[in-house]
Amino acid sequence: MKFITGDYTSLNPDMRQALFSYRHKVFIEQLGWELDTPEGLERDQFDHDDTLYVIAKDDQQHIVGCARLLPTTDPYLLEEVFPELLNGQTPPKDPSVWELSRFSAFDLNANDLPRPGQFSSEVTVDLLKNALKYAKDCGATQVISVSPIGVERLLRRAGFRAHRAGPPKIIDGYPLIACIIPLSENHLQL
Amino acid sequence: MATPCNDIINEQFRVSHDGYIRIPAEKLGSIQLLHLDSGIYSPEDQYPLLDRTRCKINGYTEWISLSSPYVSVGWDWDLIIHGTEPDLIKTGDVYTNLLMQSESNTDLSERENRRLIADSLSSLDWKSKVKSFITLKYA
Repeated sequence: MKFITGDYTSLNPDMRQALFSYRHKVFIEQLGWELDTPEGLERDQFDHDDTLYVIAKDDQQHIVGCARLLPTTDPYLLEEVFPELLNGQTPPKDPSVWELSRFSAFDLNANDLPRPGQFSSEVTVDLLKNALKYAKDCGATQVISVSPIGVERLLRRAGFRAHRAGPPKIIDGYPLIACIIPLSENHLQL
Repeated sequence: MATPCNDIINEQFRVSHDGYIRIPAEKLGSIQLLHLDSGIYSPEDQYPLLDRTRCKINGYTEWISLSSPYVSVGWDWDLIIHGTEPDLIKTGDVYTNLLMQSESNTDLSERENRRLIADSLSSLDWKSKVKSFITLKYA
């Protein structure tokens, strides 16, 4: 397993194309998210020059996971789309708080694709550790994320400390929460 | 399903910078919870029939306090049917934004916090609510 980190501009055009194609296959074709995206690519207004990415590749150079990191000093998903998940609090605008989004650890070449809410555990945990470490290296002390409640279960099983910021909101029948991950309380040794 | 109502403000609760609502541990019993949502994990993945008389389904349930800012508590359950009698059993930890403090205003450990909240659920009639809710939801 190889992990690639970098901002939007540091990824070459082929890598960006492969990443957004992978995200389309996962989030739109597999998970059924209804997003207005270019044909075959999943990309939105939060993918820009300042956005950071973590990409997991297997030994055959296939993308098997990805994550997106945004500083909350820029517009971000929780602030713009799901602020009600913050239990009445103003979305943070703080250089030490980063948002994790578009997190996936689906191996699209595996025979048995996971269903929504399921995770392939080893890649998931390694990818999450890499993403949190990258955020920490960029000055984050806390990471927030719009997450299905299944992510809380995953984080606790994997030994991460995390908690919800408030009650879930039911979107398309699935409860979503704002999940807070304090980096100082988590061991991110890779 | 309970609907969060932002025009009722609970002055006793304040959300900390880290998202937690902190309260003295002795106040836990005063928090009234309403059912928000329950569901089955990936219904298409369930293999409920263990044999002719027993089956098992698992899912989640979510509860909130009466007013804003909301205390949120969720947990998982197994629905086990022996013969004709379905029973719900809570499984695993609770998930919450509530963090209790000791008399000296220090945070309880997360483990102790979760244990106390889980214990408090014994006085909540959650099983019948979840049963009726999922019966309607998946009918």
